[in-house]
Amino acid sequence: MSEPLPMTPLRRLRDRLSLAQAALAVAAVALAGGVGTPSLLAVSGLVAVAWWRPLPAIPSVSAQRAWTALVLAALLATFARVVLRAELIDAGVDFLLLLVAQRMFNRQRAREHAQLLLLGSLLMVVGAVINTELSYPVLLGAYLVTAIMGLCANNLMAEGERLGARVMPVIDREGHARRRSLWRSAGGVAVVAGLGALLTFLLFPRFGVGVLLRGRLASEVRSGFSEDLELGGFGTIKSDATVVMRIRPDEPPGSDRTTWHLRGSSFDHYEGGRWQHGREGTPGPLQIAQGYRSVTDQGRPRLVRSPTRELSARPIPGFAASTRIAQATIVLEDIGAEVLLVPSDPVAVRVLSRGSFEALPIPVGARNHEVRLIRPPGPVQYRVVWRPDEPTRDELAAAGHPVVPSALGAYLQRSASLDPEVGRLAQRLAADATTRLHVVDAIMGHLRGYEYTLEQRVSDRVRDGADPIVGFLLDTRAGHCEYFATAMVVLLREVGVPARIVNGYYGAHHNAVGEFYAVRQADAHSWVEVHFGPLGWVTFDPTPPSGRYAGDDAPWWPAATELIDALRNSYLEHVIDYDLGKQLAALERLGLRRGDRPLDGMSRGWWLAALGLGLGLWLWRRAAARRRARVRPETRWMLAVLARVQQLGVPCEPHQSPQRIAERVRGAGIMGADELQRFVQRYEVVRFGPAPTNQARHDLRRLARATLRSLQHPRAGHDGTSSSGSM
Amino acid sequence: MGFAAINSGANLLHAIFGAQMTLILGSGVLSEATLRRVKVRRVLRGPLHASEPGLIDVELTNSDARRDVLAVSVEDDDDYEDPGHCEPVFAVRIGPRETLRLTARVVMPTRGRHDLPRAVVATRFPFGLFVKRRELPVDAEVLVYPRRVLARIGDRTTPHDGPPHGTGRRARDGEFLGLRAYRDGDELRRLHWPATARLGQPVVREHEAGTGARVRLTLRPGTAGDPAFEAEVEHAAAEAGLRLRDDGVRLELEYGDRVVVPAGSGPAQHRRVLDFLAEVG
Repeated sequence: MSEPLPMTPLRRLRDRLSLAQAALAVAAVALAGGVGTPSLLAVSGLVAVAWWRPLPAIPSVSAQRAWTALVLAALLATFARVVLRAELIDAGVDFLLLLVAQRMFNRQRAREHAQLLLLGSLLMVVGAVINTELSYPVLLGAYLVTAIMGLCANNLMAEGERLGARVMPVIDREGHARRRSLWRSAGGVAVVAGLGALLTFLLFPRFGVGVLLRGRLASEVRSGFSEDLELGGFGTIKSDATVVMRIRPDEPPGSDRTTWHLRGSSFDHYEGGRWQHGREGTPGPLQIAQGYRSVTDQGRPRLVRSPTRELSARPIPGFAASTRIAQATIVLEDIGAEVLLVPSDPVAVRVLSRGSFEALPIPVGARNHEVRLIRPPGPVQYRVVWRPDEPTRDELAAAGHPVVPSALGAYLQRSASLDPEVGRLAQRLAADATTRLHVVDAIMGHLRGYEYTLEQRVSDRVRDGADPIVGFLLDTRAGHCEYFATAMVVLLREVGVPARIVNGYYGAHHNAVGEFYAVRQADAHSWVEVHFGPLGWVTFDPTPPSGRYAGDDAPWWPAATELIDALRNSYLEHVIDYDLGKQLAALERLGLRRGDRPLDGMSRGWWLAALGLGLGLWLWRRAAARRRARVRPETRWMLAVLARVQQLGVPCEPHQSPQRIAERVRGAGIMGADELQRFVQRYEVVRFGPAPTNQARHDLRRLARATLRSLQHPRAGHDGTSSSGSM
Repeated sequence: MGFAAINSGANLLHAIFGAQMTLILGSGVLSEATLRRVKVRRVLRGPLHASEPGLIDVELTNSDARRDVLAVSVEDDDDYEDPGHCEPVFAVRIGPRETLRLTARVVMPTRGRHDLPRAVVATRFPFGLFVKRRELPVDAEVLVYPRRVLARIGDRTTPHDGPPHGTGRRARDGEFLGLRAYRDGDELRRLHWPATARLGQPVVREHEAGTGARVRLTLRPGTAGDPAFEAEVEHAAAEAGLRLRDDGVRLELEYGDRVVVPAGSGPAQHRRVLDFLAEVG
């Protein structure tokens, strides 16, 4: 191994900056799930080794060959991954990470550092594609500053390498000593680059040609909500404060906590402690209606327009408030499910564009009133219309005991593994019920005697292989929302009432900073929907109220969490979702109207104020510059005379005194030499003598003018032509 | 980047694209502005001999009253194939209105009157993305003396008993005559320090003309560039230096059949001889 490379201060600084910018870029990708943990660990280890080992002055030939072979192998593997498994981004990022490690091992010259900086910028570009989180702009800001400083330091080192060994030590020493000046300058460029980014972001038209669309890039987020429901498989979701939804209702409910049941999946088939989607569940394709995709009832869209042209829900006989609707805009994080969370009794949805980069997710169906869609990764934004009211108890009672149509047979399915004791319990509870509402009340009343707990208590019966819900109902009498909801559905079905379990979230926390309602992982919940004949499916929640709420907000610094969450929502709304429509709207807000409509008064005022401010700033800077460069009037006059002398072909060197120049003018035979002599004598008195009076200055000015008029080339005088400078 | 941004419509790509474009443009503008603010002057620090490094001062002045000049170099202009070569100099920072003096070595391959190698002031600041350069105006010509070679007394010099030199009795090897003000070319060892200190200006001793040797250095006519003639010139220069090192030796230079440098002594005479030899042929 050759001698280690001496680590001078500037070289060390450049090393740190190169590494820091690469680390920031990797973080931007990793935080979006673009780097697999094994890759990240492997590269981190390699980089750590490269960082701490002494860097040889010249890399060994064998090491270089080994790296070349490794990079070639990695290139082939990357190509294979792209072709065979369509992992363009993942494979590309892994390859870039390997190159980063390789460069860290061979970073002796400026060229290698330039490559490291280039790799960093490529990773930041990848980050821009896959990272839609608030972390990206924060990392981008830090990256810009670090990378620009790194570029500056590397440029100095490159100059040293180019200009030779004699200059390098000077650059090394001075570059480190003068680094504050360099950073100031680099900081200025970073600010200008930031402004450029902002202007391009705001003004560059969004076309979104869409020749290349991204594939599956982002990873799925673990959620308390799941499309699979298995009793006993519940973790510690209730303590997870991660926000999964942000709801901005058109009409805020006026309380800090809402009681919305936000439904995701509903299940009809229960067997052995596991809920599944049965094939018999009610199909319900979405239909386009009023610009929305509407949920249908018997093939007719729920969303209609009232005679007053307002949107409303299709009326249901016997349900007075059935036409009233509520609307909200929801941003749903990628929770790993292809279902939109909508409030109970959804009417219609419309997915909103989140920028033209990706294809608009399309809602494809509403089996069991689930709104499913084909979605790209990342957050989805949508409008939702729902019925905020439920039938009153009188209306439910009036429905009596409706006949169950055969189409609802799936919701009467009974598990073969249930103990007959459960059926007897259900029969006993419903013995005195005369209406469906009474059956529901009886069963919910029975379950109110059960204990809510997140502990997974397992009875001996269950341990011996019995259905977990039997253990809950007959033995432990304690469990969480899934047990309560399952128990209620099972009991209802035992007595012939169609029911289904629904998985989703309950309630939302008001974020005062962002003016929206946040739903957290911890709000995941299960409840029950019971069919009431013509009134449709009605929501019932058998879980004790203490078990529905997940506690209040974030466990750590709720105010800060609320603020960050609001910032994130604002970022998604104003940055990630910024599109051509918003661009035009922003320009219109600035007063730029399409067509030939003039500026309105307010906009005109803003523009004039901005122009005035700019003009004032320019005048102020100009005046300041003049103050700094103030020249005595006598000097100004002398400079004008000297300029004239030079025009006549007499060179005026800086070291020559005016007296000497006057002599040279006389020697050159130029006309006006006498006037120049007089002017020079007077000038020296005014300029270097005691403080000159105004009269002395006035006389000097008069003399300067006379000199300028009289200074002429002899030939010009003969020809009768003349020229003079101006003062 | 631009294509990706336009193709995808992704907002962050637009922002990064804007930042990159601004960085590139800003880098170019900054380099240009840096170059406009800097003024360069090159001054030789001493006599220059052919094929031998001489020292040159490169003065870099920042003409701006507020802003620094950062990372500028002065180096040979590679657009021209000048025979001479000047080492590059690099200034990391020049403060507002500050003048930085850097020293470099310059090598001119042949004797004679030459332009200094053409130079440019250049900067790649801040990111090395662009090279901005400005040609420096051609400096005044410099006189390059013949290459220095090992001196030996040859047959070029002959004792000469011509008429006394016009300097009369003022010489360096006779009896002490008096004091006079220092003139350019006087040997420093002739300084009379007590008188210099008393009068506040350099004063040297004068001696009566002595009986020192008087030699004539003869150079046969030739053509510049002819290796044989060049060798003659170099040895003549060396021999003149060797002779004039001795006190009292008065040397004159004859070229062809004409005395081109009248007899004289000391370093000033040596310079006069070198001035002639630099351009002869």
